[in-house]
Amino acid sequence: MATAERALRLPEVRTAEERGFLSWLMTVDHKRIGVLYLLTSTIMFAAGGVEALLMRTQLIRPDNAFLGPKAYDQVLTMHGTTMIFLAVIPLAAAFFNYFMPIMIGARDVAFPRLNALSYWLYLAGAVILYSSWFLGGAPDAGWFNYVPLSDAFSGPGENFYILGLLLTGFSSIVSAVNFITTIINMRAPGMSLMRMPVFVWGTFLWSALLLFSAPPFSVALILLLLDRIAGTGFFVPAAGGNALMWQHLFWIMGHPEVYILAVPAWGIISEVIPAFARKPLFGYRGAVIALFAITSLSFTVWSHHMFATGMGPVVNDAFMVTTKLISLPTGALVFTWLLTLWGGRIRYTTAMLYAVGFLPVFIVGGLTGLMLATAPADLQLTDTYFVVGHFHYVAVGGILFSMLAAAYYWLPKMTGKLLDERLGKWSFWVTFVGFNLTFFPMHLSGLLGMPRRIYTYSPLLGVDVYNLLSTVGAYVLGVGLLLTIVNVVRSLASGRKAGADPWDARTLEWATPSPVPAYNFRVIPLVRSRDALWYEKHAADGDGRVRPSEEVAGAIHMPGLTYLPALLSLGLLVAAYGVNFKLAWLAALGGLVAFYSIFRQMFEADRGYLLEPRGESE
Amino acid sequence: MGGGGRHRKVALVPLALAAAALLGGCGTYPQSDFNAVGPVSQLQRSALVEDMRFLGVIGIIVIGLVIYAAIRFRHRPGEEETPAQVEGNPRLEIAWWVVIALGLIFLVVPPLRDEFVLAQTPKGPDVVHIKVVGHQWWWEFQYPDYQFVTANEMHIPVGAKVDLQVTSADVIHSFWAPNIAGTLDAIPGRVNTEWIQADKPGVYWGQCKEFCGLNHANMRLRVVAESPADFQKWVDSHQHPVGVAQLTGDALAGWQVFDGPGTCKNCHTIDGTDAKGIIGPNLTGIGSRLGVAAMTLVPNDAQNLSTWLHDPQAVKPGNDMVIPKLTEQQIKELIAFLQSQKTYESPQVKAALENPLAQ
Repeated sequence: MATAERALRLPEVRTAEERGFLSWLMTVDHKRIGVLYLLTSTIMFAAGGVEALLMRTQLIRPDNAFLGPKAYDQVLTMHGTTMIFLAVIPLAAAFFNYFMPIMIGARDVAFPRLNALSYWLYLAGAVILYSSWFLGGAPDAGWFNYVPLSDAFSGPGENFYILGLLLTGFSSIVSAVNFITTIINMRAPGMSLMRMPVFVWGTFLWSALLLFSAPPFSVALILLLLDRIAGTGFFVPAAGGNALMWQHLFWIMGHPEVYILAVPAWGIISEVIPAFARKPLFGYRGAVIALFAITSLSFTVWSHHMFATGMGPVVNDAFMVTTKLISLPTGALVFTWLLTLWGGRIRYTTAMLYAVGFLPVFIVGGLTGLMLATAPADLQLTDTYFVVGHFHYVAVGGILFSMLAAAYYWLPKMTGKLLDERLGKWSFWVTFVGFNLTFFPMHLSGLLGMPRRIYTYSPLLGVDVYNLLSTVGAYVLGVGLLLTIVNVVRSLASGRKAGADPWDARTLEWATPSPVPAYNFRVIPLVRSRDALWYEKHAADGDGRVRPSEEVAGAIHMPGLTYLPALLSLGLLVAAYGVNFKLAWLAALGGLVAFYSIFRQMFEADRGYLLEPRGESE
Repeated sequence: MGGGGRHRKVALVPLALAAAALLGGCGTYPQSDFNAVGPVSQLQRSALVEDMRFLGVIGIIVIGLVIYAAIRFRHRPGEEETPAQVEGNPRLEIAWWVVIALGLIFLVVPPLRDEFVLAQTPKGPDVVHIKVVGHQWWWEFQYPDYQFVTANEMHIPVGAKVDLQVTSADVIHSFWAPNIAGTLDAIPGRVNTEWIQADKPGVYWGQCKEFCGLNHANMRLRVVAESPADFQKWVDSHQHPVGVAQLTGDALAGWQVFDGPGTCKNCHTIDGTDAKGIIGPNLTGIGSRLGVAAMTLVPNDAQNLSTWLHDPQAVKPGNDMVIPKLTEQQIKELIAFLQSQKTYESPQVKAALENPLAQ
């Protein structure tokens, strides 16, 4: 009776979406979730950056006593864990969330509530990991968390690592399912797969990577948790377990992880370079094929992290071959970008500076990666500062630069306000110099015999000068990044209006107003070409505006707000603390809250509301 | 640290230093990958150097092209027309896939053989066998052929193949003495093997490379390569240790401290005495070792021994040596005792006792 009555009621009509504080806790809008991701991951990035500066300060000279080994190991572990799981993955998720649906001409992702759940799970994971500093000490066995060190030989912080990463892993899987479904099902009419921007392909493949790599890692985490709190012996040799098994499970996630970080970067670069070179991406099909090849191959290379574990020559050689094969599609991508620049009219906005600056450092990082892939050479290089230099060339020079390019490129679309180009260019040059000064000397100190993950080193090693340079560079890099933060804050306070299309760009997001309205498109667009907006600006029958796919333009049916995703995460957070402190009642309470929100979700029909935009032209 | 000032000045130009290092390494970098003194490290070095050359050339070409394109095709004031909208060129694209694939052959094939060379098990009467056991945070070296155990300082005869059996007593460690051979993990519940060989007498540095907890940074080691005759004398001196029968004065008093109830002997063994503890490193011949506390403090002199014995937890936080505070007199006596426990000192050892960087 009641159900029938409810079904008959029409959703209410509103003229604006809710914007209050509570609405941020209850939002299901992909753009606002993207903003939440962006803010949280920026804070996490700052935390990881401070941890990096603490480490560099400790290493500024040999036998330094700034941080003892206890603090150093915690900071070391938290820096890596934060940057990988709490900063860079969610930073990519921020841009994917905000722009992927717009770029395929959709109103939102396929499952808006799941999308909110992804964010709240990520936040819960971050809260758990960072609360460890105040609840007995942070994890201290490294972000790679090798057993047995992380098992019976480390402190209570380790449980925070396990539980926090279980939650962020869960968050990643949920995001991955959501993005894949959205890209397959929600594209606007005419947006065929091979018309999708490479950034959208990046979202798709990022999701595929997470979908297949997060589960084995979650399994490893659960086994380790059982070893630690329930006395099982999965990884304990004396109990019949295998200490090396952790490394396999970890790197089966950990190497695809590298591409989880890199694929978004390549997607961004493949948007920013064509926009400012004012040419289409050179060899779009080849680039998509290369991205697919890299994604597939990335699951076959994990043991190159383990050449020194004694796997034998056949296994080492096999992984050496698969690893080097990845450089074929990756090299092809580099040529794609190079040839896109070739013959262009390159406008050096700050976004483009970061994108072009990405190229040489990424090439260096790729080439040193090939050196590490040579197993006999790797036996010397592994676990030295050479490796640290290598992967920071990929992770900071490659991935962070692309994220900064994305920020300078897309923030005007998100906020409606331009960033200051002068300050932006300063930020680029300071960041670029600081970056190279920090990480180039690490290659040398590594070749000269400085191992990584050490809190102190002997003056007799002869590497003090390199360490001094790296530390000075780290502070310069910090200043460069701070300039971008200042730029964003100033832009929010007093930036010039961006307008819909400040860069004369190519893709659909620039066909929407800045900032983008809740419903993205008044009418779902009709896509007639790759680079859909550019096509309408230049085609003989185009008028510079993307065509609507249908005539009707009534009120837009929007999903309603809901507190359930946040509540579910809160329940899991409480349950995780219960497990951590072995408090059964707390775990049960959290579990009850989580189950309540799941069941409530199952029986609640979201009628949403009808949004009647006021006097909008587009 | 002799000549430190000059070294510092040169080092201000990191590129110049890298070039210098590439030219064969020099004594100032005791853990340089480039100072290879045996067939294993030489093979690893040549794999590394070949890669550096080949990839260096590729890097310069590709980065050069990027910089050229980035400058050449910049937008100049007044250029308003849109550039040609070239979407690709299938022939060119296929060409670069093929070129990269051909380049990969040179990169992939040569090192494939190396792994099999490195995996050989040395056989024959001249082969020396050593079992390496990693502990938090020190190294145990067992010589099963000669029935003795030492710590943190491995001696091997020059020119002989040495068979290493590497494992761990607690967490994962990694054995690395870069001048002689690359890394091999020490994993509990598993024995990894590798062969090493040094062709030049000297004292070579190494340290644990796998993160193993609080004092991973201070889990260091030395490999002393000495002539076969010297090596044999060193072995003999372990088989006929000094013991305590001849001790007098402070050294004898120091032995009494060492031997006292609830003290050193509970954890440490010294062959030729009744100290049989197995928790800490074997201290037979400690008076001739090159450093204190797994080479955390070098050289092994009265001052460094005193620093260590005053407060082992301050030097190496978290290590297993938790001892009651010793009096100055006890420390003085213990140092005299420890220094009395000598083994044979080859010219290489004598030089390194004077100057830790001596090879």
